[in-house]
Amino acid sequence: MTELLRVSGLCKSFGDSRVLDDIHLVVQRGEIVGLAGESGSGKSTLARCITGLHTYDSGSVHFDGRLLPRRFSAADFRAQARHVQMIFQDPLSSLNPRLTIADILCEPLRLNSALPRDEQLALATGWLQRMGLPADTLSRYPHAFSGGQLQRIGIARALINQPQLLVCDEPISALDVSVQAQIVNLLLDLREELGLTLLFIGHDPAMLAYLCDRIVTMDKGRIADG
Amino acid sequence: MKAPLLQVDQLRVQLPSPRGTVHAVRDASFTVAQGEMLAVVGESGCGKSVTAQALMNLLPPAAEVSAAAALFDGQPLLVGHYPRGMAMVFQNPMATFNPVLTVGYQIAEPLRVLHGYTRHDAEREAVRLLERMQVRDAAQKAHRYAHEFSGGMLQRAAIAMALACKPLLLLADEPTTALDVSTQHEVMQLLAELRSEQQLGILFITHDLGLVERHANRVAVMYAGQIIETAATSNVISTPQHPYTQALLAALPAHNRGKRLYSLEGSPPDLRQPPPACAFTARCPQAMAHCSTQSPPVMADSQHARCWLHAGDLCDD
Repeated sequence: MTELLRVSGLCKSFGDSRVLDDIHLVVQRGEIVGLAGESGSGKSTLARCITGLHTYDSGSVHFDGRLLPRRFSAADFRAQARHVQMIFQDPLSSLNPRLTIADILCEPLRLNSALPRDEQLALATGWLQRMGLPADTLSRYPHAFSGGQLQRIGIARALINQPQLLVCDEPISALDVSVQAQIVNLLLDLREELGLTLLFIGHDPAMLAYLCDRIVTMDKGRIADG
Repeated sequence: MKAPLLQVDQLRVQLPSPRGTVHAVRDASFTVAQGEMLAVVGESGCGKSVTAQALMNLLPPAAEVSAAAALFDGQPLLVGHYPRGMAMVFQNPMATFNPVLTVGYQIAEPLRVLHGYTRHDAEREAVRLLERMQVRDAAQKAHRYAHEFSGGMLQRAAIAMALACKPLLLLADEPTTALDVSTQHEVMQLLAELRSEQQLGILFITHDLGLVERHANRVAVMYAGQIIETAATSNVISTPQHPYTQALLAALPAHNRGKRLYSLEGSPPDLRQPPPACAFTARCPQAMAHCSTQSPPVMADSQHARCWLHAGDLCDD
């Protein structure tokens, strides 16, 4: 296995309160690493520092051997978006309500490649099939779908440019138990097929133990074990 | 045997909608005894919350609610007003509290209005209830507003507010779904203590069978507005009879370490046109020819599974 992500000595404060304190974390290629901990322990903040959504005070993040800047420029976001993608807890609020699913799925392709529209749509259709969603999905809007379907659309959008790392911030916490199982099975299959690496944030120990190769527990901004 | 605290026979709820009447609850029958926790389990859209709202008279006036019999503490229920002695806790505590009144004031309110406490006594009792729900610094917290509480603490305050109604029966509609696992456990523990201390009956609604495994006495599994299996929790967990119950259990990681999780494809049927026979047929891995044409009988054995698989040779073909 080779190293994909290395976080060293990362610290971050919001005002006076230190939310991340000397975080060290290494993720190998193809690994599923679980990030556990109570609300407020810093899991999401760490995920956001890794994906460039937050800046941090000190420390470093290396991705695929490259040092990532502490503050992403627009160009950094665009470059890094091909390699790292993220899915969130509330899939409805992470999809633009005024775009059709076709536009939502084609947007990352449009920004990152010069594919003609019909080839973009063909790719999008392929991903929807892969996610077990009906073909008429493309012409509809986000509000027409259930939480589990939206989360699968969010995963399709995240993966359409074939990133190496998918950061999942509690993607199943808001879903029914049977739908949780669908999403977890899907993530395991995708790892198998695409060699995807996952950083999976969750708070259900049973689900993390089931899904992850390794679990890192955070407590009050520090890594407690792992 | 003593009559149960709550007895509902063939509860039926129909909700008008622009595109046809929704048959949200279809002949659901259940009982809750004093000090008992009955868990109502099922996916979203199976009628669990509507059942609780019907009992509390919280449905819109246009809803048609009927039952062959509905008795609560010996009194008729579903008579068009809020039933005394019943209180409800909702999924989102932030939406439960009025944001411009202090939490303490809102907990004290039912004590003053329903039970004639003076303002001073009601406030003191509110603090005591918060303390009982293990809210730290309860006296100070009572003067704070909902947005100053964390989710878990606010849900405990919401239970305190429900307890201020001095209920015999608590309806808890997914009260832990929005909470952390560790906080979830604390809330479940508190509910269990209230049950044994005050003989409080609890109707606990959830989609997670794993959550109620340790705390509920009995489980009623609900699908498409019907109760399709009901039995003691240990029986449901160890020997689930209905394929739907089996599917819910097979989706739990704690029960299926090292195996692929079973994920039930599709979603519950549209209750504007509920299927004529067994509503689960379309998704059932063990469906047989007559499942979609003839309603399965309700088995009178200990587990009451509503399924042809357990009906033996009662079928005509």
